[in-house]
Amino acid sequence: MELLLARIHFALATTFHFIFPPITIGLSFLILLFQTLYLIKGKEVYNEISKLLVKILAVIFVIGVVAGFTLSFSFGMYWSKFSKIAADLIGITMTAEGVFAFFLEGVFIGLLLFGQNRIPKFMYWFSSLMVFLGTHLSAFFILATNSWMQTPAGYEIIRTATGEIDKVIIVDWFKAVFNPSTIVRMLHTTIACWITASLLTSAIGAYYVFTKKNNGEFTSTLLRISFIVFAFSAFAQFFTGHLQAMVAFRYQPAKIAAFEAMWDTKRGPNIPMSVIAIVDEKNQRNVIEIDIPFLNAILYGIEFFPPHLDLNIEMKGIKEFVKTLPDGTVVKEHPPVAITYYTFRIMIFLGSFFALLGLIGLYLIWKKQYDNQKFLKAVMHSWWLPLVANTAGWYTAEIGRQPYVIYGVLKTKDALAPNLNAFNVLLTIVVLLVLYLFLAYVAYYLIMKIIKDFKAEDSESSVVAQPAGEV
Amino acid sequence: MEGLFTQHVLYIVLGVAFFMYVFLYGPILGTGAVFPFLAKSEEEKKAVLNSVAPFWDGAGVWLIAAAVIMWGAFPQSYATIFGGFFLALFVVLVSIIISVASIELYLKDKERRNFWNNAYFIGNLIPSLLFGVALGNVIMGIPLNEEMWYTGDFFTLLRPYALLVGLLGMSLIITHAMGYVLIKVEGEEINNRAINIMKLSNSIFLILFVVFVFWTHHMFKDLSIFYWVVASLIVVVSIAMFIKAYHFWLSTLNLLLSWALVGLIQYPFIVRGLDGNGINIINHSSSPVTQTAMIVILAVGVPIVLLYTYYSYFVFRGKFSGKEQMY
Repeated sequence: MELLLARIHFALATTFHFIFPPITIGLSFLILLFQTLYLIKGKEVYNEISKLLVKILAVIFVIGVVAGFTLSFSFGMYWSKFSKIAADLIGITMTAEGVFAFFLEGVFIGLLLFGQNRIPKFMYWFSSLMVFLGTHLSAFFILATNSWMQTPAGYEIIRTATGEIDKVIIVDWFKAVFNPSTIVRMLHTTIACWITASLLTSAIGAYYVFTKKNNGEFTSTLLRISFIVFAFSAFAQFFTGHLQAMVAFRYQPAKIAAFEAMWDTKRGPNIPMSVIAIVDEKNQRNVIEIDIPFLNAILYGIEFFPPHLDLNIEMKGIKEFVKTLPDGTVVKEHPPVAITYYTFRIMIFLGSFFALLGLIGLYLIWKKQYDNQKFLKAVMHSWWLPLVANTAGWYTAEIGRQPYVIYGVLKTKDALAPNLNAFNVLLTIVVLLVLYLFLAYVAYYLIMKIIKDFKAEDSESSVVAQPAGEV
Repeated sequence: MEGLFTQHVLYIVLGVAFFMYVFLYGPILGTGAVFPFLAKSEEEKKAVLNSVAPFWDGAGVWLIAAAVIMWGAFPQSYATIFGGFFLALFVVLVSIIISVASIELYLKDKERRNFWNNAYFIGNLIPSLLFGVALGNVIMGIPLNEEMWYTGDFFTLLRPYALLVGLLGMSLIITHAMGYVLIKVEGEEINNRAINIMKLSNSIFLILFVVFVFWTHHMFKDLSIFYWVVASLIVVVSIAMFIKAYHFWLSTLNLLLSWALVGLIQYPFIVRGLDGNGINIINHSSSPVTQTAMIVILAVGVPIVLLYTYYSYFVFRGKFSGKEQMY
């Protein structure tokens, strides 16, 4: 009971948290981009756009930070055995995250929000660079930690006299931090953040087109640059996504089997890729299945060093990860199949939709058809879809690691705090849920207000400057 | 000296990180804890929030840094405290969430201004008290089993000595924050109120501190001469605070001395048990590879952090008023 509740709590805490940092990270990239253009080209419009983005960032950032506080408390409060066992790695990655990333973003975001009238143009640009660096380094260190939990490396296990795991000590910190999945996970997640923020800012541009607010140069610049970032990120995401799947194929075969809902082991060359299926987890089969033949053999048969294609690979099925112990108990060493399969599909379908949207948009930009109503409407209404894709992708990665919390080392059920009380945990879930719903509502309300009220200063016609206090 | 060099370095670093947190974040905790008594008009409230708004995040990170240093260097203490003080820490967490949100949202979210106003008050009042209560508990000792996990409950935490340390911490934080108001917030009335509150909180601190010193001596008979030296210095600095100058820097000195005192009482423990045992820095620390890596990271990173933190305080130097809304 405690285990289930603690998992529900953690799902709530991470799901809510993971709405905000991707927008922060992506926005910090866009703000740097617009500030750099402002620094080089000197056109006021770039600075006006960055002013709008900074206002939005302020709200998103604070919610992301407070939701992050919950996480740093949660590891100790609910998962204190994990905290103790994994401390050796955490000590390195999280200290680095604090010292190199949290302080950087924390201090320079103050300068970004309040400093424009107080510091020179170059220092303001530098602050946007530091916030960009801080948010991205923060992502790197936390993803290095997560990657180590997925594909642990550079460690040794210390056991107690009874054979239980006592702690995991790091013997090679470089191997631990740059474990097999760190770099690809970093690429994939960072680009997801860029997609999220750039589609959001594109949607804001589209909104201004429809409402005729801030029309002209401001809107077209915002829309064009955001959308180009969005389109290229969406294309790149296919590549990084597949790189990540290839790493998982090598190190976490049970996860890949669940991605494909593949129950029996298959050998090349004809390993199909599942497009959609109805998974019957209880009877270990799929009810309806639509496949693309050969595709998985091709995708996973690619090798980069040296480049060649080997279709005669073997893909392990889920049944291989069900073990029967000598005393007759059945141990499942694979993640829950249906939820992993479906969240993976949601991510893939949305990713494909983004790439399609990007393709159409680039074509329209190339043809200089900036006011295609249908397309702009689609962009405006899609702003929240990357958030769904991020969450689905995160679920895929984290649920796909089950039943382990540190893959192959520590099971989730063994990571729990020893003196947890079910009622207390339930209480925290209810309180956090209410608090989070309220914060989400306030954030949504404020951002809509910022977008609606924002009036870009027109460099040519404005006589009366906008009052500084207007938010 | 028993134990490894790295263990002792990180023990000191942990204390310094906690000091940096109360030094830089104390102004927020303290102004919040007395908010209704300090700032009366809308303009004064805005002035106080304006004066902390550019700094809250960089300051708050020191708490995360301290928690992470404790986690990475002395994992059992982090696991025991967070797992053990469950409900108390959850209350602290919710308080921090609403108070941090209130700093940014008070100015923007005009329709819920009253709510955020109260959030800044309650959300800072609770942690400024409970941080001290938690500290008091680990000093006097908490019930631990053989594997060093906490076996008490929520009410175990509310013993008189722990509550004394809680009030002590709160009065010092408030004193420190009033010193901040004097140098960062504009307005004659609010400054006068700050001086009055400071006189009161500093008097309370002084009385409680004397009680604390003898009570602690009564509990641990074998305290060294340094204990008495540092304790006397705190009393001297505290009395000096009644003179009209350098309040903020005197309270900063007192915060530093207080953490030094805690370190002297606790060494080599981080969390004391009830039977003279406990979680100490020698037997319950992480591996030398990790501890060395942490020290290297801190040695490289912290000077840079201090440099740009200084730059940010330099940029936002001077007093803040309630009229100016910076963005």
